[in-house]
Amino acid sequence: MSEPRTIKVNLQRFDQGGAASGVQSYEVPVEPGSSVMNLLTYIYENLDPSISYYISCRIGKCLGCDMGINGTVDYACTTPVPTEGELTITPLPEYVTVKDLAIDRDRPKRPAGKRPVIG
Amino acid sequence: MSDLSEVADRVVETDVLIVGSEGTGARAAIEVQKAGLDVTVVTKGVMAKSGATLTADGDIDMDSASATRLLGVKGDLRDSPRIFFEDMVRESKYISNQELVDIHVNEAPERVAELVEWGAKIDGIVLAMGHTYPRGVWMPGVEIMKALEGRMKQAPHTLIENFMVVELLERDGRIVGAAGFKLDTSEFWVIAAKTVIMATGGGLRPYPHTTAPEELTGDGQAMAYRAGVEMIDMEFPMFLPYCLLAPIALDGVDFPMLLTYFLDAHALNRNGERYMSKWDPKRMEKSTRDINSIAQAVEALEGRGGPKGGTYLSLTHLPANLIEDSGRWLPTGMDDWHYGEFDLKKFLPDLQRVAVECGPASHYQNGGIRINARCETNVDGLFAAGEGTGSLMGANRISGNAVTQTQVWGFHAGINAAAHAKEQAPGDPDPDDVRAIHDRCLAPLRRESGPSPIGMRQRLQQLAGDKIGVVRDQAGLEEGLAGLDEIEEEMAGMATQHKGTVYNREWLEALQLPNLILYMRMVANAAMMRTESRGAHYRLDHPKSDNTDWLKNVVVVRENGKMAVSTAPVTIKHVEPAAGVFDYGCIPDGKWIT
Repeated sequence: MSEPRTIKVNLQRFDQGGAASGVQSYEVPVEPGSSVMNLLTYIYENLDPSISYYISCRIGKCLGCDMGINGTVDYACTTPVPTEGELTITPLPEYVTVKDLAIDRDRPKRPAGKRPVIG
Repeated sequence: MSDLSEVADRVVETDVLIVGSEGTGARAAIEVQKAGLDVTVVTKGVMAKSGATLTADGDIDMDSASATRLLGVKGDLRDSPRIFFEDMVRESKYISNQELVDIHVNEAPERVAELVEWGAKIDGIVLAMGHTYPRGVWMPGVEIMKALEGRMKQAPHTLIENFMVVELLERDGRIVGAAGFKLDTSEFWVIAAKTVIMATGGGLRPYPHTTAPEELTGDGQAMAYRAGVEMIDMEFPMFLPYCLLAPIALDGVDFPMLLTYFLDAHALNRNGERYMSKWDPKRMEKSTRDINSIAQAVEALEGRGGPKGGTYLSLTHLPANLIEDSGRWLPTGMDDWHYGEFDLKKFLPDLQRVAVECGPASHYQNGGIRINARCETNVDGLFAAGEGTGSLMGANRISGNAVTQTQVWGFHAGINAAAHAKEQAPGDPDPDDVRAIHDRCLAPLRRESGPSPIGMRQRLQQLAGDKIGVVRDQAGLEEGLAGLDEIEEEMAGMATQHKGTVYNREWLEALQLPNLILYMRMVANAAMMRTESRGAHYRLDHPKSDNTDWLKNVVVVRENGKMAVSTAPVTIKHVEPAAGVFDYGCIPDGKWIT
């Protein structure tokens, strides 16, 4: 039996006020056939219960776990863990980040440099 | 309300509070809106991005003749609400409440047609397990939620998302609202309501393998129980057969089961035998899902399972090009070897050559809050509908009928709760009760050290699967209850390791854990009382279906702080069950009497 593979997961953290608080890295074992969501679950259950993220159906239907995965927006539950290299996870860029990967879908980010005329 | 605002961060006043925003909750809300009342809908997740309705693969039931006439699909005109009724009662193994079934089959066509009118797209009609004719109008849950969300949001409402209701509030024998926490801020809110509808779905997450989303932790049933509401048929959590046990990304996905609907898939034990010939030689893998699940569990238990504790589902007897081509005609949501957003070819082995090991996964709760035809419970001011309720499905639900249940019964709950609310004074919760709930819920967050809810939940899942799972016996159920006692004792001192107050998953688990334990306690006690096997309840020590002594429903209720378990007679309207004791899965058809 070969040693189980591990992957370095770099997670962009945001604190409770929604401010970026740096990248935290975790060394996570990879069970064959894992999705990115499975790695987040592993980190939460075994390494660091403080990470926040939204997961509901786990099976590619609710579309609530979209996030930045190695620079591309995709669903954590349906994206296979890359076979080599590291994994960098960031919150969905279009919305205000509430904490870590949890975003507020009621608060889209305004385009830079523009301000609302009213309100 | 001055006192309340001292103990709560926010007090919301409403006519009707609906706990749950998906199929049932949204459908109920639409009726409350029509009645001109103020409605507040709350959800633990985000609307149309959480809950069980979204996960529905596709079939929503109505009789085939009405589907043909109303929706233009290619159904079968020989079908009728009466034959649908007969199928539901037969497959409930004769313990569903026939008054409710009657309403269900007669009103299903109107409710399904309404969804189409509101914009849900359909893709044909399928014949699924348990139905005499094709009744599953293919309308994936995602389509249903688009239609319902769109409709509900056209009229005034208050929607509160990321909000976990932790307790119902009772005063002078009436439910007057609920208390809960905003998960994104940890703010404690009280919602004072004239009437409450529980639409929280089933409690499927206590089990290690499940098709259910994360939110389905039995909160509604547990809160209702604590408020003195009767529960019925709790011994019948339903498991879906042929769900994937691996790879881990697809754990609990029911794609192999769906293949049995559309292709001649074979279920094999480790000796390569099609073991369903022992359980239902005529229907084989197309037998109902309760029987398939129990057969799978028994094969594994008796040492004929695969390495992961499941059995195998195989297509390899079919020509390779036929399997490949089926990807083109499988319906929306399964086409081109996809499932939801999954590209299955990235995760699954080549099904032309390899059988997949799969097993039963918790999927639905046949039992739950006991309601009458008006969706009333035995506690004034509390209505309930959908999967969180019992009585309609008896010992087993047939495919596609859960989504129909959300619509037919969400509709009734909305109408009747609105009528009730019109007669009530505003809800006036007791501030002392509210303060006690607040302090209890925050204790794990405030306590400096103690065991984490994560480990306790993992142990509970193992225990539920092993001792209170697909098949049971007396000794196992006793061990299960003792195990629940142990976890509950430990839970009294639990502490979250993480103390944050924004989307703290660990604290959410701390809020859910008491509900999971209580829910499994109800299942175990009801299962212990029913000393026979029927539908989704299989006792290794009582394997026969006993129509002489057990044409009854088991009722669980809190009495003097203790869990009391008793039986109630089955409500019969049109079909009289056969008398006698029968092999499991072999209850003869009942007789139409009126």
